[in-house]
Order: sequence, then C-alpha cells, then structure tokens
Amino acid sequence: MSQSKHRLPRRKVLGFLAAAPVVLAVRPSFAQEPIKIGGIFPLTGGNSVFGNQNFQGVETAIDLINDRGGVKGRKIQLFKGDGNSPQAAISETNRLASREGVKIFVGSSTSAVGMVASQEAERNGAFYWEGMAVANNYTERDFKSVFRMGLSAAGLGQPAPLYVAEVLAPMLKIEPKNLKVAVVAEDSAFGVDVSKAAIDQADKLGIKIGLRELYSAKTTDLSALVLKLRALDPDVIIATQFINDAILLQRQMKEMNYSPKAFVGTSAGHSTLSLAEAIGKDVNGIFSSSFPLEANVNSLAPEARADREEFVKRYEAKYKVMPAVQESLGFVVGLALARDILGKAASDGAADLREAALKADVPAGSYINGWGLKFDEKGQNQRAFGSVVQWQNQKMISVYPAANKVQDPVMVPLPAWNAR
Amino acid sequence: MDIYVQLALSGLFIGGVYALISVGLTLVFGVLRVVNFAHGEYLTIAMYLTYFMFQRVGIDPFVASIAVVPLLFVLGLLTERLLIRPTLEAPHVVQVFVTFALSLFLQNLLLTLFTSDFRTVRTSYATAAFQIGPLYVSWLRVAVFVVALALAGGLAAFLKYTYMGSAIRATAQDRRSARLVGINVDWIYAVTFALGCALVGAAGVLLSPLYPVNPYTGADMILISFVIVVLGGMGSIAGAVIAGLLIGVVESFTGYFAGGELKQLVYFVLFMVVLALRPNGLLGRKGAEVMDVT
Amino acid sequence: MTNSPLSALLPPIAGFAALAALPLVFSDAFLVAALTLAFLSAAASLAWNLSGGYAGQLSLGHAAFYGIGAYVSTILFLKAGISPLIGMWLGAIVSAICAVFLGAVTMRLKGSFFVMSTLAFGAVVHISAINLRDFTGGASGLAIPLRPNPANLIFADKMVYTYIALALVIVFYVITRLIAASKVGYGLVAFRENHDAARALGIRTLPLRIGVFALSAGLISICGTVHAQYYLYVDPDSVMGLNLSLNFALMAIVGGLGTAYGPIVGALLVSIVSVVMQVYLGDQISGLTQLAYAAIVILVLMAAPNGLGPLTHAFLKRRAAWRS
Repeated sequence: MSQSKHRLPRRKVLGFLAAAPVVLAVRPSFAQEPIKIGGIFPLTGGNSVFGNQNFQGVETAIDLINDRGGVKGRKIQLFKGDGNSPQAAISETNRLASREGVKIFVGSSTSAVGMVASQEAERNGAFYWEGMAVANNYTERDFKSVFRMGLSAAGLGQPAPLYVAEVLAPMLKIEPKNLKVAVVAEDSAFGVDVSKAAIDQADKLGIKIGLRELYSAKTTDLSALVLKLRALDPDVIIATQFINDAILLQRQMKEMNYSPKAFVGTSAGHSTLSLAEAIGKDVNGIFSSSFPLEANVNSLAPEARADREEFVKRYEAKYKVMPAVQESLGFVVGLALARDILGKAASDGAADLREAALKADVPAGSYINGWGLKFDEKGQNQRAFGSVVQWQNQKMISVYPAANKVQDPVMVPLPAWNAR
Repeated sequence: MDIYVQLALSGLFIGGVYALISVGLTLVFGVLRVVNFAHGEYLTIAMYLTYFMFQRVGIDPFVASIAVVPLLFVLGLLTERLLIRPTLEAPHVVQVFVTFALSLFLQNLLLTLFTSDFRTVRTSYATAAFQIGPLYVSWLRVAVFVVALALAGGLAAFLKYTYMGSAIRATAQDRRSARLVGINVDWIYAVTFALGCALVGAAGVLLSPLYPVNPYTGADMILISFVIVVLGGMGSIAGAVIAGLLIGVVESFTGYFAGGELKQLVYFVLFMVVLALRPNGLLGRKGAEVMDVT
Repeated sequence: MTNSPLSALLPPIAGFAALAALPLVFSDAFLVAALTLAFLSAAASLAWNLSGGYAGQLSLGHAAFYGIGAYVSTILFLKAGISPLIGMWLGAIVSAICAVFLGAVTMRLKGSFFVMSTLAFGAVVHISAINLRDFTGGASGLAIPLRPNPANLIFADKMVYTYIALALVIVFYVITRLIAASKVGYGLVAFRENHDAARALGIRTLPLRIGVFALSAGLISICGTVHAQYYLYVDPDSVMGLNLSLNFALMAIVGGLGTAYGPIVGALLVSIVSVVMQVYLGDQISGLTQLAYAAIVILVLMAAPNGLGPLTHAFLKRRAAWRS
C-alpha cells in the first residue's frame, strides 16, 4: 500500500531537488551568494555547555574568514541548529537543508548527535564536517561525504596511558608494569568509549588497571568512589569526566584528604576553565589528556601563530572569557573547513568538497592546536592527535607530545592538598 | 569497621542534602496536592542568586541567605497567584503539566540569560574538613546536615504550634471543612507554596559552595526528591527527612560495594518494593493513598 | 445529535484523508520529517490516552514501554536477524507483561502516588538500559545499518514512515473508539469520574484497568519499534527519557483528555508550534525556541484546561445553538 502511495511524492521531491540548482544557476549574482554552513550542536539541555563552546569557536573562525574577505570573494553564512537530542539534530539538519538551502554541515559535540546528523546530511546529499564526536564507529559507515577532522575515542583515550608510561612512571620511579592504575569514568557514551580506549592502550603497555568504576555524571555524591580509591590506593587515576562531576571528585578527594600520586583526566571536564574557577589552586598538578589546547609556538607555521593571537583576541572581545580547549577545537574545525576545504574546492557542491577533502594535505602545525589535515579513505583525519596539558598556576600548560610541549611537568608526585 | 562508619557518615551527609531539597516539595505536595515539577528550578534560581551576590558583591552564601530566602518566598507567592491558583480547580493533570512547562520555561530563561556554563561559588571553607580518628568530616557538609534537620524541625514545630501551622494542616486534611471553619484557604495555599519555595531557596544557598550551578542543576537533583517524598509519605516532613537519609545511606553503601553506576538502580528498586508493601510511604497516613476499589 | 452511523463516520474519515494528503502538500524533507514525528507522537499519545485519559490513570512511565518496543525489536534484529515486523509483536508482549506487573502493584494507588510510582518505573527501566551495556549498547545506543528492505521495515524513502505512522494513528483511533463504546470503556469512565460510585454499582474496575494498561503499553511499544526503524538509532535518552512520557501525556491533554481525537489534535498542535518556533527562532540565542514553546504550553493549559478539542467543540456548539 505504502509502495504505491509514496510514488508520487518521491517524484515530487526529486523534481524539487532537480530544480534547485537550476534556480540558483539563473541568478545573476552567483558569485555574491553567501556560502551557507549549518552548525548542528546541542545548544540547550545537558550537553549544551560544550555545544555552545564548540559553536562559538566555529563562529569565531567563520567571522575571521569573512573579515579576511571570505572564500573566493564569497561570504560565509553560518546557521545555528540546536541538536539537543538525536531527534532534534535530524529535524534541524532537515530544516537547514530544505528551508535555508544549507548543503554543508559542521558538528556536533556529542556522538549521538553527530552520528544521526551526519547520516541525515549524507541522505540529503550534503557535506558533513565533524569536529568533536568521538564514537569509534563514526567513520566505519561507508559514508561518502562525511569527514571527521577531530579524534576518535581511541585517539582521545590513548595519550593518557602513553604519557603515564613514558613520562610519569620514570618520574615516580616505578616500572610501568608495576604501576597501579584506577580508571574512573562517567557512564555516557563519551565516558564509556574513551575510558575503554585508555584501558586498551594501558593493556598494550603492560600497565595493570586495578579498578574501573563508572558512575552517572549527574551524581551529587562521589564519596563512596573516593573511599574505594583510597582502599585500592592507586599510583595514578585516569578519569573521564564532565565538568560538575570532575569538580565534585576533586572536592571530595580533598575533603577526605586523599590523593593519588598523579591524576590524569582524559577530557572533557579537566580541560575547562570552570574546573579552575571552582577549585582554585587545588587544580594545580592535574593532567588532562585532551584535544590540544595550544601548540608549542616553535612547531607552528607562522600563519597559525597569527591565527592563534587573532582567535584569542576576538573570542575574549566577544564572549568576555578566555577560550579553552573546546572553543579552540571549534575554531580549528571551522577554519579548516572554510580555508582548506571550501577555499580549495572547485565549487561548494558535496562532490567537489569531498574531492577537496580527499586531496587535502595540510602539514601538522598549520592550525593553532598543531593539527594538520590528511584523510584516510574512510574520512578520518590522520593529522589530528591528542595532547596532554597540566594545570600550573591555575593555567593549562601543554606538556605532551613534543610538538605541543611548552613546559616541563611539575608536581609529580602530587604534593599534599595545601601545598599545591 | 572504619569503612562502614565512614560510609554511613557520607551517606547521612548526602542524605541531609536530599532531605533539605525534599522538605519543601513534600509540604507543597501534602497541602496543595500539586506535583511541582518546577521545584528544581527554584533551587537553580537560588543558586544563581547566591552566585551573583558572591561574585559581584562578595557576599558570603550564608549571609546571602538573608536576601535569597525571602526573594524565593516572594517568587513562590507570585507563581502561586499567577499559575497555580487559576488551575487548582482544573483536572489534576493540568497542574502537573503547568509546572512541567514552567520548569522548561525557567530552564531556558536561565539559559538565555546566563548561558549553560557552570558557575561556582568558591569559598575558602568549601573543602575544609576535620578528622576524628580515621574518619574525615567536612565542615560544610556537617553544616548542611544540621541546617537541614533544623529547618525540618522548625517547619514541623511551625506546623504544630502556630495558628498558621494549624490552618495549613487543617487545609491539607480537608479543604472544604477548613473553609467552613473560616480559614482563608487561598491564602493558606499561597503561603504554603511560597514556604516550599523559600525552603528550597535555603537549600540552594547551602548547596552553592558544594556544587557548581548551570541551568540544569536543579532538574538533575530533583528527580530523587520525588522518590523521597513518596517514599517518606506524601506530605510528611519527618518522612521526607528519614527517607532522604535512608536513600543517602543506601546509595553510599551500594556505591562502595556494588559500584557507582548501580546506585540509582538500587534506590529505584527499593522505592518500588516499599511502594508495593507500604503504598502510603514510610510515615504516610494509613490508607490515605490507597483506594478502596477492586 | 441522532445521526445515522454513516454520518458519524464521515468526520473522522474526512479528517484522516486530510492528514494523508498533508505529506503530498508539504513535501520538503523538513516538514515531512516533522509530520512523521507528529503522526508517531499522535499514535503514542493515543495509546497513552487509553489508560491515561479514559481511566484517568496518569502514567508518566510510558516511555519505558516505548523504549522496550524499540530495544526488543532492535536487539532481536541486530543479534538474531529477526525482522522488526515480528520483533514489534514480541516487544509489545514484553511491554504488556511488564504493564500487568506494574499495574498489579500500582493500580490501587491514588492520583499523585500512581503518578510518582509510574515515574519511578520509567526511571528504573531507563537506568537499566544504560547499565545493561552488553544488550543495549549502554548510553551509546544501537545503530541499525541503513540497508533498505521492506521485509525489515527499513525504507530508503522516508515518506514511507510518514504513512506507516499515519496507519498506526488510524488503527489506534479505531481501537480507542471501539473500547470507548464498549462496556470496558464505560467501566473505565465510571471509575475515573467516581471510584466509590463505580464500586457501589458493582463494577470491578481493577482487572479492566490493568487490562487496558497492558493494551496501552503494548500499543505504545509498537510505536517504539517504528521509531527505531525510522531513526535507525536507539539510545536510552531518546526512547526512554522522562520527557518522552511527559510529551505523550501533554499532547493528549492539550488536545482533549479521554477523547479519541484529542491526542491527534494535540500532537498536531504541539508539532506545529514546535516547527514554527524552530523556523522563526532557531537562529536566535540558544534556548529561545524552547522558552517560547514552554510559554505557549502554559498559556494553552490555563486557557483550555480540558483541552483545545473540547473547547472548540463547545464553541462550535454554542454558535450552532445561537444560530438556530
């Protein structure tokens, strides 16, 4: 029944789609038409903290490109799509595609939103540029026009154990295989996937995981977890947390006068300014393995250095706060899309963008966080890497890898709470 | 052995937080028979007010309570007058959904005003703790616990020994008879609702130094309060306190022995079991909540 | 009012014909998607309304049944290759069994207590889905590969889902009408209006209410399966969240609680408001869309506590009476 019924509408849709380019083509001022990009991020609801920070980073990049004259003389128009749930993400992707004529999307802060929004974009024949969603199977879906510039969960979870083995173990004078490590994570897809990647990497390095504990990020009490940690007394804690729970864990560890020898966060809560704002100097000494905040100036191309200054200046002027990791990531993702994909593509059609993405060969150090662009055949960027920062004097300082390192790590092992 | 004492202590402290948030809810629940889904947003508002007083003017949260609690009382009066009273005669579901929509409204109002970034009141005493033998005790959590019990006790005394309190209890028992004996039921409703908001306002002030706030903080914290209110017996202040403490201790022990992710599951199952065995809650009036129908 | 059966059937048939024509008129992808969601919500709200509206048992745990439907069919499909066309019935049976147990425990509770216990039930199922990672994929959820095959209820053309959802609406509407006109329906309404009187008249409502609760759970579970096949993605927050339960109820209330057309009217109105807000406010400050939406819901509830359907009905009747 439905088979015969949907014949007519499909023909109508096809007709509509076929007519669209014709309508555009007959307009005389084609060169002056803005390039439309839709940003699909969770802007309301529980995930909106990072969603807004990511979006504002992208927006800053687009503003910068526009002020520099746009892409081949055309301005970029950035639309907001509030993907506060997978359903909303689909609806917003469709709205921007069919109402505003958007054929290029950027997203998406959470994997759930990114997975469905990119699928919807692919179905619509649009181009999807992913920056933040980390699900490992994101690029395993045989999509043609979906590219992930950012890291997978594996990429995000791996640097922490590597850093523990390479740098922290020698500083603690313990053999990596004798280290006791506890992994704690919030139980959403983000925490589960990233902590899993950290554990897998630790296994490869021969590091034993003494405890893996998951909890809901909405919790108001982590004292039982702290007591468990105290009973196990690990040398290193690797933690995947959001903001409020990251703050809570640090506070309750201090209340109970407990501290491991080293604490390594694997994003997202440990690399936000909110953490320092909340716990003050207690933040010092905490490591966070994450999307890179900044790169060592010496490893950056001159253009990227200028971009960095420009980005910080503009962001502070507009939002009255220092940009941190998520904002910086948004900026990199927006800049790469505008400058190195749109700027190099023959047109702004999905096929040409795809070709430009596959051809892109931007060396590491070309973006403010030290990244470059080179996609594998599945659409995963090979020149994105995680990095480790340490809180020193209540500022995030990049300490790993060499290309990003700005200063040496300090406070290993962690001193008593009142000595940080 | 120490670990059991420490777990019990931690459980009681977080239970004190739960009790503090739930007392106002159970009061409103018991008197107006309104499930106030926006209760959590009043908590959020109080936390924001405390934050801005602390951040902009440098007022300590405990001092800020002098202004925040009355402000929340007034906000409660306004809400009752504008949204609750006009729907009291409407079907029960309408009240539930007016407060649900109000909760959505307030969350998004706070979001448009203050963004979704977390804000923290950072006091010097936030993590100050003392040690008794092998036990660690946070001053602030002790304070929250004591204030929670004091507020609940004060409220119970107010309901028992003052004229207004008696009027509130009379109205809770039977709206019509209360009106017959000359009680201004509208006014009682307004005061009760406002009192509920003021109580959760006090909770917001006290929780500010412990937890960061964003527009969704209250909503995240409130779900457990609904459980506690029913578990304790609808409208029972003592019931809410006992259920709050019970849940806190249960959570603490499950968190330690079974793992953090099972905490919520255990207390929700506990809730279903209690409900099946004692449908009127731990301290609810017998028979009040069970229908005599087959 | 003593119309022949045929003329009584005419308005619903005309209404459904109009609904069927909507996707042909508004054929852009965004509006078709909005319509699909509106129809699917209307079907779910109709299922909720059987128990929530007619028997007055305000359940805020129905998302659990919706989610069970989505998960049972999806897990069977992904792990055992069983078509969702079969899986949806198994999901419905699982949901109905859960509903019988839940009902047996909670159906003796009064208003607010019943509300809270269903809410807790919804939360238990939601948290279980997050924690049973081996089965459900945890919070990451389960993705169904896009391999169009009608036998598996996967279609490349999304408009097919619009009509599947509409078919559910029509079937559920008919079921509702049949029940409402039966002895069961009268028993439920008698219970809703006056428990004691119903008992005095010797109507044993408990088995009726539990039965209808189970039917309601089973039907909404089927909506869950269609949801899973439409989005090809199932995760605990989207198919079991409390907001989902609240929405099913809200649509029925806005349209007219305990009427067969109410949930449909409500779902369409709520969807129209959402779409308009999204289109006109989507590009403004984050949160404005939902702020406006919430304000409208409050105003509607206060202006029409019995639902917009009955309000319009009464208004039309008054006008008709005034004219004659």
